[in-house]
Amino acid sequence: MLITAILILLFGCLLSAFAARRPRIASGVFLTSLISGCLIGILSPFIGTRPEIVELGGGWNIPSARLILSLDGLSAFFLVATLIICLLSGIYGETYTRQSERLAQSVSIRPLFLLLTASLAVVVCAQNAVLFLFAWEAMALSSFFLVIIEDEKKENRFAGLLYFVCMHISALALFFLFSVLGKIAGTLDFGAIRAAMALGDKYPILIFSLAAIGFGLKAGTAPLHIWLQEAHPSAPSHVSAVMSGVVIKMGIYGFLRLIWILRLVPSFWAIFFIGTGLLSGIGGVLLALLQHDLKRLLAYHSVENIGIICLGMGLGCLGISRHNAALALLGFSGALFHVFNHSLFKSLLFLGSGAFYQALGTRNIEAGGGLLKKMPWTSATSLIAAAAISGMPPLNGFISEWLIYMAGLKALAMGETRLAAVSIAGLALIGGLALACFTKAYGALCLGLPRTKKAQEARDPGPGMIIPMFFLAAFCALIGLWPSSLLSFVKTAAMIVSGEPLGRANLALSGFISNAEILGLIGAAVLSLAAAFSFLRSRLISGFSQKGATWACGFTALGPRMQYTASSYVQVLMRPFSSFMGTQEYAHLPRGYWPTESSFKTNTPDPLLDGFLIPAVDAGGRSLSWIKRKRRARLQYSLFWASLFLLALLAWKL
Amino acid sequence: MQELSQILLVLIALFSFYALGNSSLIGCIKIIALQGMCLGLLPLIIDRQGFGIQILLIAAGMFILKGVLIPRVLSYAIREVKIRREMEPLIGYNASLLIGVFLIGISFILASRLPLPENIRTSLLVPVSLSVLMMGMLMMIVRVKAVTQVIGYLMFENGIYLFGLAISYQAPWLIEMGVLLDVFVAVFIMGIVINHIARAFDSINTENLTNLGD
Repeated sequence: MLITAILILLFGCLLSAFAARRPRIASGVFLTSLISGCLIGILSPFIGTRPEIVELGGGWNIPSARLILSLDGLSAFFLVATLIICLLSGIYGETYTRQSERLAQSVSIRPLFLLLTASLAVVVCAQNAVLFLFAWEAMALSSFFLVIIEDEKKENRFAGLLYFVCMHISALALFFLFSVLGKIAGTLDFGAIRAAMALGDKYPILIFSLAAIGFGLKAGTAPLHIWLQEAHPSAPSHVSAVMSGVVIKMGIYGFLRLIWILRLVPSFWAIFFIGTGLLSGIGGVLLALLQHDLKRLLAYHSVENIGIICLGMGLGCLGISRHNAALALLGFSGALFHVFNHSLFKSLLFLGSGAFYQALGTRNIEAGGGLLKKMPWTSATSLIAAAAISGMPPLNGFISEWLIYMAGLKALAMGETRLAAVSIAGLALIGGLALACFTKAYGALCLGLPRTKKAQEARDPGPGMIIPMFFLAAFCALIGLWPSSLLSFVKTAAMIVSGEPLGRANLALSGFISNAEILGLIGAAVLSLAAAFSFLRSRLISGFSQKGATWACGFTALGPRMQYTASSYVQVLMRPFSSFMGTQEYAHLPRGYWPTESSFKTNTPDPLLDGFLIPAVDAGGRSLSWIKRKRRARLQYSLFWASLFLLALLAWKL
Repeated sequence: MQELSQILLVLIALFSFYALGNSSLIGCIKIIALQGMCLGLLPLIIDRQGFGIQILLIAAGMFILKGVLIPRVLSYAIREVKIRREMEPLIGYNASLLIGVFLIGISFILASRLPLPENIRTSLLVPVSLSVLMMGMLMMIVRVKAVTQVIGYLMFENGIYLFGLAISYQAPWLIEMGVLLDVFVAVFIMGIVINHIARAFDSINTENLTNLGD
């Protein structure tokens, strides 16, 4: 089943590449193969006899490479999350591509999207390091080409280059990681490495730091997030949805698979995950608060949510290193649950941002306003996603954050006071700031009065874009109201990561599962009560009510410039943090009794990338410029020195 | 069979040598075509177990690509730009022949000291592969015409292929395909680049590119 799905996707990729010059055929091929491939892939863990490991015949003539795919609980979990997002984003993307003048001319967007989907499916199912790395590179390259698809813009080329460099550093670290593991175990099959790992824990720091670079760069954990805020805005919206919803989760998958392979992790893993989780979470949300570019804002929220996931993983690792099965299961369940949730609501937000972008012609949230009336469906689904990502109760984001809180409390009860306290407090701070950030973005875009002419003329996109968003919003609500539907699935995956048997997992998690059910029921009850009351209210006041302009409060000459802007909304909140956020203000304030022109602009660069990395690289380049001047820019000389160096190296080693 | 493969290997090394001392571009292309054909035949006679369909396919692919297709592209490229001879190499022909002899010596010494798996198929394979590789590199270094650079690059790739043949038992599909694709794309691109250089500078000296700088 799984292999059929992957083959359908790859075949669709080839066919749509051949038919690229005829958009109608290409889009037909794209939709057919995407829908059939993804649906078969999603169903493959559930139906039929489910072999744990599928080995393809034929073999692969690379030393110690085997084509093995597995569908254990962890792989199945990530596979289902991946394919749901790819399916819905792809369907949305088809309409999005056709409506965008620039993307409609692109011949490569459809095959690349299918290739990305197929490689993601292989990454999460691969059981051999060579196959894993192969799929990992395919994923990195296809997403790189999708990022630079609008390569006529300078910032897109920069973002693509940055992404490319980061992904190559990540792949390099992973090559080293798997060669170290292969050297210890003598094989590159994940299962066999796991079996050999029980013997003893060699090179813990080396393995850990390679994994932290390799998987951390992909996941975008805080000091390594530098590519995220550049790449997400550059890619087309449905690609950003997949990249933010799924591709960065591959880093999380890698961490979890590695924990599965190692069986026992030292306690400094827990400290690292909690530390990086706090840094990513708080740093990400603070930077998000200061952005005006909607997709850039969402990209920083991805950093924040990766932070939340890291907090969960940290608590899980704490449980493993302290041999506390309940804490391990709870922490990993929270992290995995949040992985699924974040992929749902973040891709929904990106899809919504694409619809807003096409309507407004800019990603600046200050250009919107009043879109709730103009684009009701897009705004409503985005509202659900925004509430879910802020952790509002009846929705899915709340359940996963609740699980992580529970894990924190469990750790507190175990006596791990410091780690537990910082993770609980950090999670609370992140949640509050995220809520502020989404009220800002949503308020500026959808509420109030339209600020620009385009915002006045905005219309909802066609059903091809609305229906996938509707499905994602429905999933968010469904999981929030009926969490046990996903929890059993999460439990299997968490059980595999923590290496606990099923019986103990059931025992440890049963209380939380029934509590989550109660939470869902309370949410459903509150929602139905609210619905009943609002129905009652509308019946009672019908005929008496009168509608005025939004926020007019009886004032008649209301203009769109009288509203709060997004930056003025967050200014009060951000004042305590202003000293280290590095926001640049360009103010031309009104002067005198009859002020004429005035303007105010702020810009918040990324503190790490723009504040440190680019200046450092520039300085390095300048300090080496004397070598550049001395070098004769002749190909033959460079070749000569390179070959001389290689010969010397060879002679030295022999 | 053993002797035949030895003879082929010696021929391959001599072809490289000949290309190093030849100033005619057409001659160089013909030589590289002959070398490619020998390389294509080599997997057939080097395997003692007889040959399966896979090896036949690879041999045919190598023969056609390296012996026929790539030389065609190259001769097309130089016909377009009307260049016949490499006039001003950085190091003269006699001197580069001498360096070539020296390199063959080095590669025999290196081959005797390389830690290789025990059962290499014939004793000449590794030294010849190293010397072809080094002579290709030398050709890239001492010549300035873009076409001769490409020929040097092809020779270099041939050396890599020979080395791969030495250490892998059944010619591994994926690696071969990768190498072939790589070479083909490279030659293709260079063919186009040569044309463009010629159009921009009225010659195919890579010297002219030096002035572009950064």
